[in-house]
Amino acid sequence: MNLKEKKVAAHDIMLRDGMQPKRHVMTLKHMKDVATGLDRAGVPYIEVTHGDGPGGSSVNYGFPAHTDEEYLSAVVPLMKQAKVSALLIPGIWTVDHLLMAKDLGVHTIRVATHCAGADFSEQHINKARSLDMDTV
Amino acid sequence: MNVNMVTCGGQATIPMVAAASRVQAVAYGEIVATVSSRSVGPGTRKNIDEFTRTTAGAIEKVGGAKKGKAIIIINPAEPPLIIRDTIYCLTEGEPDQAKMTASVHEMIKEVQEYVPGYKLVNGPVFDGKRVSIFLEVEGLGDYLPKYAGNLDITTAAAARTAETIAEEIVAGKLVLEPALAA
Repeated sequence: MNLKEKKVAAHDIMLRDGMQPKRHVMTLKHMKDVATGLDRAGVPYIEVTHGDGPGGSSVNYGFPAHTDEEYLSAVVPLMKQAKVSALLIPGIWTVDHLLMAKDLGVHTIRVATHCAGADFSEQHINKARSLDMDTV
Repeated sequence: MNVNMVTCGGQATIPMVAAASRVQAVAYGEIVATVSSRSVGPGTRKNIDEFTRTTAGAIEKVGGAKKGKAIIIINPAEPPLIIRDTIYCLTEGEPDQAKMTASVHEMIKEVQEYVPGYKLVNGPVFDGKRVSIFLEVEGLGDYLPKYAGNLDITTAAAARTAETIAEEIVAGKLVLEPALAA
């Protein structure tokens, strides 16, 4: 593969998807320690929150040790260069979670659906873009 | 008179939340509706946020849970899967298992009067203060496919609501005033 003139950006999702094996009960200290380490190492994007994204807190997916607000508020202000992202899954989260993420300084929104249901994400992609958030 | 049918997931699950909350206080009610992608039209696809919020709101207002949460999963599998619903209720005190089970079975029968394919697959299962109920809704299959019970249940609920209103009008309990459409 020719990567010449291609820009590759690393996006670390350990503090979001990594919450699954931790049963969503990571402490704020653990979260901050890992995030500041990744930031120092120069990782440009770091994803934070419940393992199923904001709003994932439930009987079905598991109740986290802290709310999404608490995790994001703990990590975002400590970042020197890294941008914080959030995974938003239509059907789990609502626009309220998006506004919360925007308020807390989340930079990037990753909207996820099954590949066969991409049109479920239209409403949320448009909303995130209208808030001037980096939306993928 | 305008009547809101909530959502298909709400029609299927809120009777179960109500069946639990009429026995004892429910601090938290959560529903997970899994529907086949082929049975979800462009309206829902463009308004999935409203689906999630409206259902969560109705779990509280109609179902009687103090806090409501709704999760919708759209399953792209082929052949399409029949709609499945999971209802979790966290009760305030220890659940009265006998009363809760009887209430759930009674409510199933009541819904079956207008949705014959409404079926309890498992539960209520008790684990501490958590009560779990698992359902599926098979459609009649006379026009829409049987797996699309989510579409049938909303139509059936609307017809049932209209009949209830008609019965009240005939009995002289309700007088409808003409009104312009909103």
